[in-house]
This record gives sequence, structure tokens and C-alpha cells, in this order.
Amino acid sequence: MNLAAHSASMAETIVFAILSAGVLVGGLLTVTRRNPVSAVMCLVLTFAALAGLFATLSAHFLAVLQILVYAGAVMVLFIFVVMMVNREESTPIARQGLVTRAAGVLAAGYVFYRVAWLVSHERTLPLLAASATPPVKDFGTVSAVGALLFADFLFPFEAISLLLLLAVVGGVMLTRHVREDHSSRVS
Amino acid sequence: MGSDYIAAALAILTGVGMAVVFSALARFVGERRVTRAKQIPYEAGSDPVGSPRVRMPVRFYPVAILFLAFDIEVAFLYPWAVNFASLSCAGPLVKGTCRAGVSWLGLGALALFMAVLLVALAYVWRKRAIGWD
Amino acid sequence: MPQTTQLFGYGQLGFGIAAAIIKILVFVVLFAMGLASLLTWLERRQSAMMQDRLGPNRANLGRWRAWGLLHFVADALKMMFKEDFIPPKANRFLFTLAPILALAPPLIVLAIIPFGAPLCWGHMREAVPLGTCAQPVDLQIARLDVGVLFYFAFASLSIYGATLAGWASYNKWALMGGMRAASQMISYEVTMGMAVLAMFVCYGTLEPGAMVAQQGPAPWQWGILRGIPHFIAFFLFFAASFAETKRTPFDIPEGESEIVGYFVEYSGLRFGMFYLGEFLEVIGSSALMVTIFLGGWQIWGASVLPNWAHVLLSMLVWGAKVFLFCGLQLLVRWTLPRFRADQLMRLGWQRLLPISIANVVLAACWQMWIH
Repeated sequence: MNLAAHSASMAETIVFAILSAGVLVGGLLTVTRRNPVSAVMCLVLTFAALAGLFATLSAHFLAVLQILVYAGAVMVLFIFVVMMVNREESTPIARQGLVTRAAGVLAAGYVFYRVAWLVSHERTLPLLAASATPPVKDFGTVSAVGALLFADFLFPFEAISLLLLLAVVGGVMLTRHVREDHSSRVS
Repeated sequence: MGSDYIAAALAILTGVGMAVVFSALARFVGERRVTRAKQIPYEAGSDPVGSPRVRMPVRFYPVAILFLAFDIEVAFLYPWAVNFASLSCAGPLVKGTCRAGVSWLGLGALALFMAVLLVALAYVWRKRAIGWD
Repeated sequence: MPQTTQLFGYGQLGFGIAAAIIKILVFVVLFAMGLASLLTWLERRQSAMMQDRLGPNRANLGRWRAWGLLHFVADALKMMFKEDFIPPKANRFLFTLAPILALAPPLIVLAIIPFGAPLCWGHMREAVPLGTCAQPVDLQIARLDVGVLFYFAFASLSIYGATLAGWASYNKWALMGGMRAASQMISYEVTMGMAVLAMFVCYGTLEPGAMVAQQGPAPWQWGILRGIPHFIAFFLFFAASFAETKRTPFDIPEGESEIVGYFVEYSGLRFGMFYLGEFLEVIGSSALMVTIFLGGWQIWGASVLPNWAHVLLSMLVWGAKVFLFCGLQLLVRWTLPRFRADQLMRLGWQRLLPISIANVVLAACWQMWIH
């Protein structure tokens, strides 16, 4: 039993290491690509690894939704926009000029410092300590999320439909203006 | 559940692995003979006119936004559908059947959610942003 | 040895992993890839028979022609040895990535499809009625709670295959084909989700194995005949899956008889990956339809046949149903003319989507009325 438990937690650590490496590498690649379409695909990789991390945390529904909605729909929107704007491949702004580069290094340094502080104080933070308890059996399944959604979160659920309506109207309004300028063009 | 996720991960690895193997086969087993005629982009026999980096027409954008809105809507409706039996029951389910009366919570929540998104569809329809091309 | 049974006994981790590997090899590598390759030949032969001509029947091994069956082997070999051509100004990374994103998702989504009755470990020679097995080995690679959503999630990743192929080819016509493909696929993905929602209301679960278990061997016990909204849902899903897999009559992005759409600059095995991917999607959507609507592997005989015979029979029945559906999709290709682009978008957004939304409401009312 000890051997099984030990190897299980080691396997968990390896899986976590691989997935978080995927997230970090994906994120780094995204911000350093010259080609915007390549950057979007690296972001898709990041989200896929993130979905894997959700799965290890027993958030099954959220994991598959991450791929279905975020990597499958939002990123497709991003690709559409990239292809619509169609700028030439160029150096990212953060790499041009001395001031922007210095600011970038400072910002990265600050983020690194904060993360390091968080990691070193892991055991003393109350929120992280609470996550040591294992989740209930049905945690994260679709029916569990649904039960919660329609019990405690019914108002946000309905409010989301309004948010989506706003997004659709806004999107159509943005492109409608352009079309009316070029109304002489067929189609 | 744990071993199922391992199985799913294995399936993902298999799928990606097979695709990569095919790609490698294409690269290493296929030959390479570079000729001038092959270097021109294919345009049904004639020489290409202009750069292929044309802008995507902006009328694809409302389609993408509408798809995003409806995809998120369907994503929220999945837990609704799975829990519909218990949402339409006034009391808790007893062995899968409803012993208490009918509750209109399930249908009501759906109706409100759907109605707002149907307004979105109707708006896009009226503005003729879909159904074109 | 205590160590071995602790690792490989039923219910232990080693058993699960070994079972998964065997299932993946049998189902994904042997069955799915084999059937997809067969379909590449079958499409040509079936279309020939429908059009009153011969079709491919020449490939042979010496005197043995096998009605042209060997053509798919010949095609595979030819594609493998063709020149690997990458357009000079193309983005090499994306050009290589696109076929991978077209071939990998259809293989991955097969993980949640149940393709046979549960094998009862330890009682394989006895007759085991369904649901009474103490140690069942589900013939399903991964029994995830989110089931069908896994399928939709990875199917939505195949959009990138078409779009990137169009973009990375550095070719105007490929780019337009890729854009059209992307907008077509996203238009019908919503209808697919909505159509199956009606079935989820009825089943109360997203897990395909549980869905099949709720159905029965007889046609009136299948999902499709559970009610009017479920009947409608089947046809909605059937139509939407044609558009999702870019099969005729929705094959403008491929544009095969004209300019050959988004994979025009692909040749050899890279094109073969797109081609195989399309047939794998046909198999995948057929398998999903059979699972949700047509009873899956359910067959009579669970309580009289020995377990191994029952499992084998259920696998054959499931395979026959899936093969029938693949043949049906091939049949529709040569029956209907191609839709125009605006007809396609109108059909998706202004006909199928409102019908599927109304169907979901109808299914909810039906469910409340029944119970």
C-alpha cells in the first residue's frame, strides 16, 4: 500500500510537471512569435495543457469546456480576426527600442518576484491550505455543476444570456458600419 | 475515473502520434525534386496575380461572434439538460423518478435564457449579417 | 506473485492501462484506420456502381483482383512515395501542422465510443444478463463523465486543420477555401450541439456507455423512437454532421470538381492525411449517431449466450450499423448536388438552428409530460 500511494503521488507530480511545462512553454511561445497565426496556435496549445490541469483537479466539465469553448471557439474567432487584420509579420512591440525592452524586463522581474513569494509562503496561506482536503465524490461532474448552477447561481446564468446578446449586437454593429461605407460593392 | 483519464490521455497520444508518424513518413519517404514550374503557386495553370495575403472579408466576423455566443449558450445548456429531470421536479428524485409535483424551474430557466439568445439571432438575421455569401 | 496481481489484477492500475492499450490498438488502429482506408476505395466503387460504370477494379496481386479492393493499398503506397512538396513561400511549421490537426482529432474522438457489450471478467464462459456483472470491462476506451462533450471538443479542433491549410499554403484559392471551410464548420457545430441536447434531456447523462445501456435491442427501444423531438433530433444531427465533415452536398471548401479548395498545395501523404481524416470523421459521426440514436451495440441474447459470444455478436452488430451509416453518407454524396455557399449558410443559421432550438424546448416539454 505504501508503494502504491508513493508511486501514485509521484505519477501525479510527473503529470503536473508535464502539463504545467506545456502551459508555460505555450505561453512563452505565444508572446515571442512573429507570425500572429503561429502565436494563436501556441495559445491553443496553452489552453489544451490548461484543460489537462483542470482534469487533474477533478474539474471534468470545466476541462472539456476549456477545449470546446476556449480553444475551439474563442481561438477560432482570434484566427478570423488575425486573418481579417492581416498585418505583415513583424517584430513584437516589446522587442523594439531600449525603453520598451527595459520596461519588459522590469515587468517580468516583478511577476517572477511575486510568484516566488507565493511559492515560498505556500504553507501559510489559508486558501492554499484548504485545498489540501480531497474533493467530494461527484465534484466537477456535469450534473454536480448543473445542480449548483441552477440552485445558487441562477441569476448569473440568466445574466450571461444578456452578456452574449451584448457581444453579438456589438460585433454586428462594428462590421455593419464598414459594409455601409462600401455599399456599392456587390456582396 | 482516474484510469479513464489515463486511457483518454493515451488515446490523445495515439492520435497525435499517428498523425506525426504520417507526417514524418511524408517527409522522409517522399523524394524531393525541385523544378521551377513547381515553385509557382497553383492558379489553374496561369501565372499568379498579386499576393495571396488578401484580407479575409469582414462579413465573416458576425458569423464568428454569433457562433461564439451560441457555442457558450449550448455549453451552459449541457448541465441544464443533464439535470432536467431533477429541475422539473418539485422535490428530490426518488430512485430516478419524481414523486413530488411538477416544478417549472427547469423549463422557466431555459425559456428565459433561450429567449434572450433568440433576440440575438433575430437581430443578426434582420441586419442580414448571416445568410449571405 | 503478489506484486503482479496487485498491479495487473482487475480494478488495478496496470489492468486499466493494459486494457486501454489493447482497446486503442483494436479499435482505433485496426478497426477505424482499416475502415477508413476501405472507405477510400468503397467511395469510388460505390459511386461507380451508382453511375453505371466500373470504377477501380484493376489493382491486383498477380492473378488475384479481389474486385479492386487492393486499390486502397496501392493508393496508400503511391501517396507515401510521392514527392513531398512544400510551397517555397509557405509557412513550413503551419503547413506541416495543418494535416496533423486534420488527422489527429478524428482519431482521438473515437475514445469515448462504446463498441461492444461489457466483457465480464472472470465469467466469460457463462451467460451474464446485462447489468449484473461484478467485474465488467467496458468496451470503451475512456468512460468519461463528460462523454459526448469530449467528442465535440476535439471535433472543434479539426476546424484549425482546414483553416491553417488554407493560410499556410500561400495560395489565394486555398485561403478562400480555408475561410469558407471554417465559417461552414462553425455554422453547423452549433446545430449539432443543439440537436443532441434534446437527446441529453431524455437520457439525463452525457456518457455514451450509459446512453447505450438505457436503450435496448429492439428498434422501438432505440433513442430515435423515444419521441417526436428525438426523431427530429436525429435528422438534424445527421444533416449537421454532413456539413461538419465537409461531405457533399456541403463540400464547397473541397471544391473537388473545380479548383480543389484548401488542400490544393498538398500532395502525397500530406494530402492523404486530409483524405483519411475526412473518412475517419465519417466513421466517427456514424459511430456517434449509432450510439446515441440507434441502440449502439445492444443485441438480444445477453441471458442465453455465453458472455464472450454475446460480446462478439454485439461488436458485429455495432460494426454493421456503423458500416451502414458510412455507406449511407457515401450514397448521399452521389445523390444530392452541391449547395451554393449562401444556401449553405442560410440552411445552417436560418433553418436548422431555429428548428433545433424549438426541438430542445419541445424535448423539455415532452420530458415533463411523460413523467
